Amino acid sequence: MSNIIEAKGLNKNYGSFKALDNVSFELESGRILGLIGPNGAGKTTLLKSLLGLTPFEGDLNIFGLDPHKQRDELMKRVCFIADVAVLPRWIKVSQAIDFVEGVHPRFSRELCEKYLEQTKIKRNSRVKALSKGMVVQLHLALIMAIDADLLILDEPTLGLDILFRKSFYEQLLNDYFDDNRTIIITTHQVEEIEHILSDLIFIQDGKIVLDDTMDAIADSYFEVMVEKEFEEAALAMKPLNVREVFGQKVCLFSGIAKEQLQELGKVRKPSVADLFVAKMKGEAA
Amino acid sequence: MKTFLTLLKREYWENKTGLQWVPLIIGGIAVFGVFLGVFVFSTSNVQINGVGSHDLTSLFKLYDVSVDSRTKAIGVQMGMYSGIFSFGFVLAIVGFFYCLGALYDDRKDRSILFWKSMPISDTMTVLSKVVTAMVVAPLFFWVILQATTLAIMILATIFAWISDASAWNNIWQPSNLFVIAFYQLQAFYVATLWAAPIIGYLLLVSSWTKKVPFLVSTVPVVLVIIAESIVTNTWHVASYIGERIGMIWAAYVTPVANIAGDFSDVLESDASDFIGEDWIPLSFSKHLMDMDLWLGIVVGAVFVIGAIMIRRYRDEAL
Repeated sequence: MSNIIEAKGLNKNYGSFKALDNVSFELESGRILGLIGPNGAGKTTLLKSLLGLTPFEGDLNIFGLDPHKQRDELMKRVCFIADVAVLPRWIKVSQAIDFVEGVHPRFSRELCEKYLEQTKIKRNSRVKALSKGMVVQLHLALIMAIDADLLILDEPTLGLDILFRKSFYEQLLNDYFDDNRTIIITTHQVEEIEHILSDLIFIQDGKIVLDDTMDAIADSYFEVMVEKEFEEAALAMKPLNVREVFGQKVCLFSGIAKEQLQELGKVRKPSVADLFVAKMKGEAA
Repeated sequence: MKTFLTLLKREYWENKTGLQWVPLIIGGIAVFGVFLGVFVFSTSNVQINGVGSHDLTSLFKLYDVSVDSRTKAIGVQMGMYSGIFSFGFVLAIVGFFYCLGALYDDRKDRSILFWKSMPISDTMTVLSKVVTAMVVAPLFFWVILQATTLAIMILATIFAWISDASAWNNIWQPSNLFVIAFYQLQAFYVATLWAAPIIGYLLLVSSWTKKVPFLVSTVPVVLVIIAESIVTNTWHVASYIGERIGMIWAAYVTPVANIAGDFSDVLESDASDFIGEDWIPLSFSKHLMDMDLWLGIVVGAVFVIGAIMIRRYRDEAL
């Protein structure tokens, strides 16, 4: 597997504010990367750099292309949904399909129609007459009908109800994703996407604080429901984070063998949300 | 090419009102006005100074037999050509607001993020707006103007029949239909060429401004004019803009000189006397030989390149 994204020492400043602070990472094809971070951490800036929408310092190439200088070329292979409801309000559904068909060499009208058949969207409605959920369905149908190598989704399900969010990710995984495609997702609702991710990056204050595959994370991070009598022993092992559930301490450890932790209590895989909280607290301290 | 045509279609979809419905309404009003004038009022009598009582049909018959064919022809041709003035005026207003919104509206509603997710260069996008303003919009107005002219001629034909006069002799034969239509086509495009620096400037503002493009495009110009008049007591900026607008107007008036030239025997004067303004070029080739026209196109092109650069390289896409 070769890397499709290689970023080395990315920096981006807005005045004295460092939006990206020496960010480096790599991504292979066929992965689903979750890019997680608090508001203002630099997620959107990083995505914009990847999409060539903003200049930056450092080395970045995607499919061997410089996203800022070779943006038009890059956009033949990369698709993105930047935000919900950025489809123009005046456009008709049929016009949106005609437009993408007219400008994108890799668009398949049949595929798009197939996706739209599963929705209640009428071809002659205007976007402004559609509900928020329908606009996202339309946008997703347009984008998924493009045979892109990299799909970037920035908060794709923001403001949508839970039923819709679930079917959104199911469709993405079942109908779209395969070994030749790569997806990058940012979202606040980590718990909804963690089961589909293969890679995880946490970003805070413009810096990457965690960058690993989900498998590696499962092997090195453990959460322990510590039995009362082992509390002191557990705290002595310097957990990353401690929280209390029904009076029982739950400690998050990294880099300690599972067997050793099993002596303290019940061991389980931490959720991405808990890992995120622990990492963010750790970095802030 | 397919991409560019799709972009032009996109502009048409978004701006159907200005490109299509507005000229259709103007044409509709003109046709309806003629209809009212001819058919509603022709059923009542016309009295001049309380003397006589003629209905319009007998007046038309009087015109038919008493006026010679050359005089009829100049009347018909001038009348047909003059339809362009209302269309040209409305095209200027539609074009002004189209250009101001062209590179601003999609940033305001964030849909630029959708457009930018497609493999289209910013150069292509901006050029599709230039072509819409300078080629497509005048074409739409011209076609609808021709449809309006034909509709009015058909009404006139029916009226001639009612009046028992010859429609061919009074309307169709003297109309010189294709020549007038061609004059109008040339006038639209030469006027558009004169407007090139203004179109370029408006697109630049549209690409650059973060809010209210209307004020951002107009207020600084007014301030510069005022400042210039106070500081140096001159009016160079104002007179440049005034001359530009004057030449746009001149492009529409030039065919009047051409028509007058064709009828110098009837008018008993040459075309320049008839126009009465010596700054109006008497032919389109004189327009095209004017250095100022080409300088303006160069200035417009520089503004357009600026608009492309801003759209391509601005730090934030919005």
